Amino acid sequence: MQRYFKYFKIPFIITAVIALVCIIVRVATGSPEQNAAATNTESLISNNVFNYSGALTDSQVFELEALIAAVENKTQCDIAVITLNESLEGRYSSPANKWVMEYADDFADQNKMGYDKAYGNSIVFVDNLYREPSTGKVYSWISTSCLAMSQLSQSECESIMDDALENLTDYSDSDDYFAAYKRVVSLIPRYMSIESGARIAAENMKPVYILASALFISLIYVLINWKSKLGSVTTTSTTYVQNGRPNITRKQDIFLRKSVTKRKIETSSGGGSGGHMSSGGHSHGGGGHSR
Amino acid sequence: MLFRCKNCGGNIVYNPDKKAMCCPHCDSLDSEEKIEDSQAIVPSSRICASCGAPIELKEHTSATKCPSCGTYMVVDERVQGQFTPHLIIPFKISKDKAKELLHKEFDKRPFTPMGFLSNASIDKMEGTYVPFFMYDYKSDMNYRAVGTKVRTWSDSRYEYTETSYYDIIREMNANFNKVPVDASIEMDDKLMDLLEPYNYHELEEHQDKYLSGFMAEKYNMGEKSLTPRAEAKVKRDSHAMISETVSGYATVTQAQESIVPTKLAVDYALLPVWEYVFNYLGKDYKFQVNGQTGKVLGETPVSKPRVVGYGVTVFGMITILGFLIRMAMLVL
Repeated sequence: MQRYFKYFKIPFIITAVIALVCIIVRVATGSPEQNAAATNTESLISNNVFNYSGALTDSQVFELEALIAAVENKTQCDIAVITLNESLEGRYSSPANKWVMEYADDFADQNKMGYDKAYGNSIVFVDNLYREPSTGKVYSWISTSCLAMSQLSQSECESIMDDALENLTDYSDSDDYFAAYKRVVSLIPRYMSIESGARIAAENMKPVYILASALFISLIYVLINWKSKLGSVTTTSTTYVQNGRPNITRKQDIFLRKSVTKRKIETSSGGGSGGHMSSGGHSHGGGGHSR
Repeated sequence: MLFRCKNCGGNIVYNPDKKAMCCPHCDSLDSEEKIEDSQAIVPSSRICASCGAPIELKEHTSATKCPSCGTYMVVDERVQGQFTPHLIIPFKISKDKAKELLHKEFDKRPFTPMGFLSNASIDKMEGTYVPFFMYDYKSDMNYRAVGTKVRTWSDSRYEYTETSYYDIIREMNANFNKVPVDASIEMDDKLMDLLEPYNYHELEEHQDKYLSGFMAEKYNMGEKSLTPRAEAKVKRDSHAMISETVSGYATVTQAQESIVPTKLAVDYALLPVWEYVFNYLGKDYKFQVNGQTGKVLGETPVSKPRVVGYGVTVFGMITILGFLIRMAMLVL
């Protein structure tokens, strides 16, 4: 027992110090501060979920509304989730993948969306379940403006949808649209960096992962200490050689021939894109997704 | 024979710290007188010249300790005639120093069982002079191979790879001095090889007095039967020396190597080794300390209860830390 405590003395002290720091942090940090309430009085819409496709049930809509209300407060952005199941072909002059974008931008402008003021901070997520016959694809879009536009880049919007919509395939009963839309909404504050990295990391650090890594580390510890090495070789090839080196009487490296082969280098090119202007004349950002 | 103190009559032993014969009873230095065996020689046993108790001798033992009174004695006929060692490295590491080295090497290992390196078990440790044959060899080496070197570069459209082929020719020879091979059946060959090297600057002409205070063996087998092991060592080192001169090639193929060792001379020598034996769950674990350089060897026994206890402790600590850190991060 004495040997045990002597061996683990320093690890125990370190553990105790870290534990103390954690507990102090936990106790000293108060409840999160309250954010400002919405101040846009001109908005033409009072709810946040527009279930035009009918992909969600009433109770799911209700639950999603509640989630959005909390996220709106946290992000200070007006958020709308729209599900469609209709072709947008012929309505806009832009290419097929931008129809949902035009739809989302117009929706925000026409309804004077904004958390702080009309045409203010807003995020509109449109998921059109209709498979456009001209391209054979299902399109989604996240449209952003003002604060949301500056805090969510196009690639971030695309990442949100890539993550949340990855399990959706087609308009079928097996798809869990409710789970996917909840994920979209809850990912928004993460990508807007409203939540601290530490907190996101902590949420990802599930208890089972902690137990698994503790098990892994303790197994490594046991393995490292289990097999005690017998001893290493401390002689070299010249330990017993007179003068410590051989007499080299001939050492030649004679060039014989050479051969050359060549291989064509593959090249690639890339591009980029920025924000755009809606038909209503307001600046929007965002990104799209198709499946 | 044994060595007796002219001053107090006690048993004098060789003291590695003082590098001299030293009486442990009266601290006299170099006051030894050699007492030859008086009785008729019986091959397998001796009568202790000090206390008269019978001492059983193993087949190859050339120096031992009386189990009754602890007097160290040398078996005359096993260090004389054909068994006279040419050379010896006297013990340079004392028993206390050897204990210290064992502790230094193994104390940090967490899974050793209780009682390992305890004073009770380590005090029984004895120093042994192990018989070695030392071979002088000349090695002639001849080597041919084909090597390639690769160079790559590119312009805007193509990547080029140039492979150059070379004829590699090496001819060399080396004189090996005193390649050691242990001539003891009891000592593990692999362990004895790992105890190398000894520092040959301290090789001395053999004197019987160096054996007093230690165990010793005469060679168990002749030098001829150990020649293959010596030759294998010479070949191994020769091969390595050739390899060291071949560098800078991407590939080496079609290697043809010829190593011809020629035996030049053989010496019979005694080299010092401390051996600590620890018995755990019915198995003997052996630990060696080179009696000259202090190099330590040995595989430590593992106590399973200790593995479980320590493993669970590490697991518990990390788990607690993980949950506490998570808890703190959730409020940040």
